[in-house]
Amino acid sequence: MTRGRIARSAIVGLLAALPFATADEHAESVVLVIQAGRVHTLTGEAIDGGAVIIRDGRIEAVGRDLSIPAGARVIARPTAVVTPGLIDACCTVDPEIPQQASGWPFENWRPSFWQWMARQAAHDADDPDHVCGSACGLPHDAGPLALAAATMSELTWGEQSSEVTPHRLVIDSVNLLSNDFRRLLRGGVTTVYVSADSANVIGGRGTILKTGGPLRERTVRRADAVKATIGGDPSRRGLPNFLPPYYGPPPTFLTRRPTTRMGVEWVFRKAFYDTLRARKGLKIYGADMPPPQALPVLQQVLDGDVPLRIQARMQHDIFTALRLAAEFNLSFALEEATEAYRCLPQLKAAGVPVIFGPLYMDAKGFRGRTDEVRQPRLNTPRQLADAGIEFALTAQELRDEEGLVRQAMFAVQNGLTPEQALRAITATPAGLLGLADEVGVVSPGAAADLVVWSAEPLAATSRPLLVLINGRVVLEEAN
Amino acid sequence: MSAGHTSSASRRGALACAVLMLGTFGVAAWDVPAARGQARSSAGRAIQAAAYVNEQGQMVAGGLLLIEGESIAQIGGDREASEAGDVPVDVYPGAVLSPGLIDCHSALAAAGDLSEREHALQPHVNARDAFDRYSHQLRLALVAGVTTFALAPDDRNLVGGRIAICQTAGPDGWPRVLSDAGPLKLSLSVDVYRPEREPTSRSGALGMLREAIETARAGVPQDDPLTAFAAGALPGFIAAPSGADVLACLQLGQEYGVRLVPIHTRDARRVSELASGQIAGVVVGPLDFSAGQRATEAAALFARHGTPVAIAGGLPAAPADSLRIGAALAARSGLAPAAARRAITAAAAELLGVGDRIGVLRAGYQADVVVFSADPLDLRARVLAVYVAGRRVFVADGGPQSGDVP
Amino acid sequence: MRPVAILDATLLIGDGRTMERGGVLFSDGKITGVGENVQASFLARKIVGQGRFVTPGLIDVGGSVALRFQFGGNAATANAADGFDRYAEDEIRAAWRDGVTTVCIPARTGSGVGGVGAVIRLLPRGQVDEVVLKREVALCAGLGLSGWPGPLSRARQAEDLRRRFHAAREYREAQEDYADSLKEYEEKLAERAKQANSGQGKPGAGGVGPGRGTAEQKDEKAAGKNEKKDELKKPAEPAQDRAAEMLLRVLDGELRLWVEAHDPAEVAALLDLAEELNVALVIEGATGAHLLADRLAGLRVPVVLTAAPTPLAYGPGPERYAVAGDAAELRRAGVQVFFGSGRLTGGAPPPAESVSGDSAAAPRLALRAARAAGAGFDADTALAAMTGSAARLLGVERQIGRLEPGLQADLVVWSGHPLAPGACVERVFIAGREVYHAEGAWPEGDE
Repeated sequence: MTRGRIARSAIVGLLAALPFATADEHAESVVLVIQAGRVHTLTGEAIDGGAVIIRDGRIEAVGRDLSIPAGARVIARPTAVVTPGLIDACCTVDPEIPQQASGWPFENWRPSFWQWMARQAAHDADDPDHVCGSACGLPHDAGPLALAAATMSELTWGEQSSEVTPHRLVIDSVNLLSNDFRRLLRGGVTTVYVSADSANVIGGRGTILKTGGPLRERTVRRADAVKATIGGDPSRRGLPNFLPPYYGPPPTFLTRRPTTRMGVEWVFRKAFYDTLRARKGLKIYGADMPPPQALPVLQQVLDGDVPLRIQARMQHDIFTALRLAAEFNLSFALEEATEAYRCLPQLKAAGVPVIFGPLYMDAKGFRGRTDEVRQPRLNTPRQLADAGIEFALTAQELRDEEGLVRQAMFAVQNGLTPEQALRAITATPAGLLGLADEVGVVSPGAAADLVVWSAEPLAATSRPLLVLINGRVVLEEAN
Repeated sequence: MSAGHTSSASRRGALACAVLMLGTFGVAAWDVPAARGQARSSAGRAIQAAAYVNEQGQMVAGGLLLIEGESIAQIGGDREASEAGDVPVDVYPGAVLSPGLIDCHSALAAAGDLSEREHALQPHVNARDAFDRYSHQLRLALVAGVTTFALAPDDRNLVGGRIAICQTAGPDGWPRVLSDAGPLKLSLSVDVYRPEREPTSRSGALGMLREAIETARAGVPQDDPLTAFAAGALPGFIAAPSGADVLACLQLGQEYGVRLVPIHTRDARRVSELASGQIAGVVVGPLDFSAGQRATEAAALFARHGTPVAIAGGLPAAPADSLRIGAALAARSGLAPAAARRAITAAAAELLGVGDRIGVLRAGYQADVVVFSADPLDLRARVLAVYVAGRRVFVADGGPQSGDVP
Repeated sequence: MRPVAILDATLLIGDGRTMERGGVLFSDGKITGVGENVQASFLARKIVGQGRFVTPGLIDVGGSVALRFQFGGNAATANAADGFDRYAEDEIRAAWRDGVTTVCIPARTGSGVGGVGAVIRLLPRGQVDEVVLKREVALCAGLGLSGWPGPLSRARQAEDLRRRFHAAREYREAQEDYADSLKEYEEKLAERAKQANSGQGKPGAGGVGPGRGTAEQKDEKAAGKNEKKDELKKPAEPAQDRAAEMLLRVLDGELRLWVEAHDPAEVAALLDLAEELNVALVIEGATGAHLLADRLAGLRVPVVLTAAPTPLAYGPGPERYAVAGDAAELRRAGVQVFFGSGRLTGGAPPPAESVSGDSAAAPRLALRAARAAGAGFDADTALAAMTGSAARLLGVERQIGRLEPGLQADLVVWSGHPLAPGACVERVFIAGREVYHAEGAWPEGDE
């Protein structure tokens, strides 16, 4: 009986501790030394045969002939390559929990009316394999209604009750328990800026998170930049992008202005115009007023206290963004920027940094359903580099074979140098996030966010062997 | 197991038996119609069974319970029924006495919807006003042993209103509201996000909730449930199905010092340790038979890290005995039996703020007693009788029923 | 394979009997000995079963474990075995944890005929012939589970079902007519050939040649017509209809008709149908069937109790007829009652989270039975309904369902009586292989 009890409690203890096992494994070791074949410091030349000494979660020293402190735990991977943990400056995290209205209401018990209609339509058409309404198999007469009901939530999960919601925080919609963080870690990404989605003209404030380690220590910055979107996404009335106008569910909060690019630009301008009026103590009025809670945040954006990001894909949207920024004297970073190659001189002149990506010739998913991705070019990163524009690469929602490190690899295939590409996923995004010398580099004083790769990180066969965040091993490849 | 009756209870027992003979399948007779006209006997009454569930939730031998008026006068001890004095004694050989079961989140006996639809913040509404004391659902719950339930605004509003604590029977035999000053009901469930009003999303919901708390704190203190909640004076039951929702509750608790009790929680894997000591308790369930392991073990994980756990039953959508089904499922998934028994009685009462009146068999507490034929966690056990506020409101058909048909 | 002996345990044989302190021996996937004094060979792996209970692996009569297919309303030839994903280990593991080793998967459909149900053994990654214990159990149909709920759609669906059976009969008649006329044709053909043989060299009735008058030609034509009438024509073969043939097998009593319905009115409609067509019926779901207990008993229709699906639309759903005592009441009337986990979701394909990892939905048969026992169902009968009787219903009683030498070694070791609170599954064997072993992951009770 006693033995049984011990065995039971052991199992139970194991179960309970499981989620924390990887995180807390090395919490005790105060000094950690990683010896590798090469260390990309990003502050200077790569160091061959170097070592990194980590004390209390921070990098103490990096170099070739360092003396190893007594009692240090040494991880020797003589053929491996060390880089800073990768940084995705415009990540989308799969929250894995419902985020938005139009999911099944009532705790997955009963579908909404529209979902119910969609299912009925699918059912009546006697298409048993696609009763749930997967987009590929729906009968034609189920049509837009069914598609709208079935896919709405995958496209947008920001707050939709206004076009202008800079007072809402992306951190509130991030699920720190999501398995997506694990996938990011597997790709060597240790810091992400989670950006708001593009369904609002002025959306919520992004957040900066570490992808691993104890839950309490994940958040680097709760509320960061405000995200604005210029282009088609906010003019879709909250509906899936592939629906023709006037199809889909009847008017709700999700059905709202603007419906055109002109309207998008107007809402952006009106928001900042009203903010300026409010600052002067003037009354604000008219349609498309920003909600009162938005004004203080927009005020901070105007003052430069809160950074601004603008997502624009096509050339004329980028020009619109530049024009609006000039009008209100705003500085911003450009997200996505598919057609940046067409605006190089203007971007250079305005000094706007670009968070470019993902790279594609043939966009998939919701992006593919917009009409904004017809003319991408794979050599855009190279052109940005040649033009001397500060840029970072992002994989956004892509993972694994299309994840951040692969984005950099594709960029190298299309003309970027490996050094430039590595910089675009480490030091440059760190700088854009205001975390220069904190992450994105291997230098004394920086947080010990490191990836130990099996080979040069941008080699096609390379993979992360070990990932550290704040000096803790958060991912270790099983041998 | 037949209920034996002595003294003046015999006449009532005979009546009950007569009704039962006429009655349909193995259920019940209300004592109410026959007894309503009678004056209450202040002399009290006694219940004799083989064992009872004590304050820790353990089953202990000896089961003489004395009722004085509406309250328990004495429980346990070695006294025999004959020593009970000159009071009628109901004898249930081999039976187990349990505190009346408490469903700490239900929509039982609700007349109409349990959420106002036009705005997501409804701190002023009180579920008491939706209580339909003539609902037939109440009887189904009562015969399953549920004596008390929290009638709660549903999960569709961020702040749904005040929870009312109701009873399926009362001293006069009729269902009643025990307290209309229950916790505030909040929700982070996906049901809150609605396309026709704010918020439409999780970030909107949490943002609005923070604004509401801050506004309530900045305003003039008044007799407003939201103000009391924001000041940490009133606990809030908050629908938090996922682990991420529980994390959000912990965060809100740390930020504002509000007292949140996550309910409907289905995932404790990575949050039960963090929740330890941070929250007054947690409500899991409703659990049905097909609930996965992750959901059924949530109770055990929270309990292991020292968080008091109650189990909700989900009445009336779920069957009347779903409270016991939930406890049995949790017990099979690692919750200690005593904790499982408490989860549907004492722990629920404490979280609802009525732990000083009901939920345990203790002298001075309201005499809400369910007589089970065996351990209440054993789904094979039957409800033999139910007492609310000292009055027997249900007695089951006597003999054990056999399904043996060749 | 090394023989295994479980000794000193309480054996619940599966037919309602209990053996205190007995042992079970099995090797090569089969039970070789059951009894109070079984002798385990010294080679055998011995498991001390003191305080433990051993049952045959439970049979989920009407489950949907690892089912990856939605059956349409007119797919009589589909087979549920083809929709079973034997690699869905999360779900299969959830079933083991509840002591379920075999599951009867009906080809569920909202209305109409879904296909043929199969009996599946939950052997993970097993070969198909190991996994599928019986490929054809019953022809499955649904009533009242799709479309607007209400009497109109119920009546329409019941009528559709009846029509399909009548159509199958007509198909058979057409086939029989065809067979008859084919026979006739062949006989005539043979006769002709005989005639032709005997009358060889005989000149034709009229000479055929050019230069005849029109009138003659007309005559000729008329004569030819007459002759053509006499001429043999091969009868046209009616189109093959595999679905109708499947339905005919039900009408012939080869297969049962297994219908899911969750409303007493639907159950009544089904009983009418079964009487009219004289088919062997099994009713699954059967919410509210206790209201028709006597009729069910009279027609000897077994009932598989599964939970009512959550309704698609608003309004009172079938759950209003659900009572804990339905099993007991049915049994008391003499109806054979079985337990199934049913659809694990209300008609919709399960959300990803409920089939993967530890969120996978579980059958919980033992607790379902315990609950029925609480409402007056005899506990031994309940155990038999999940083991021996269930195997008999499904026609696999010669393979599984009891602890008996010669049967398959599918068995479960429980820490306590399967219906008792806190009892958990410690080991599961399927075909003699230990597929699940919980090292008692549960804390001790406090008493």
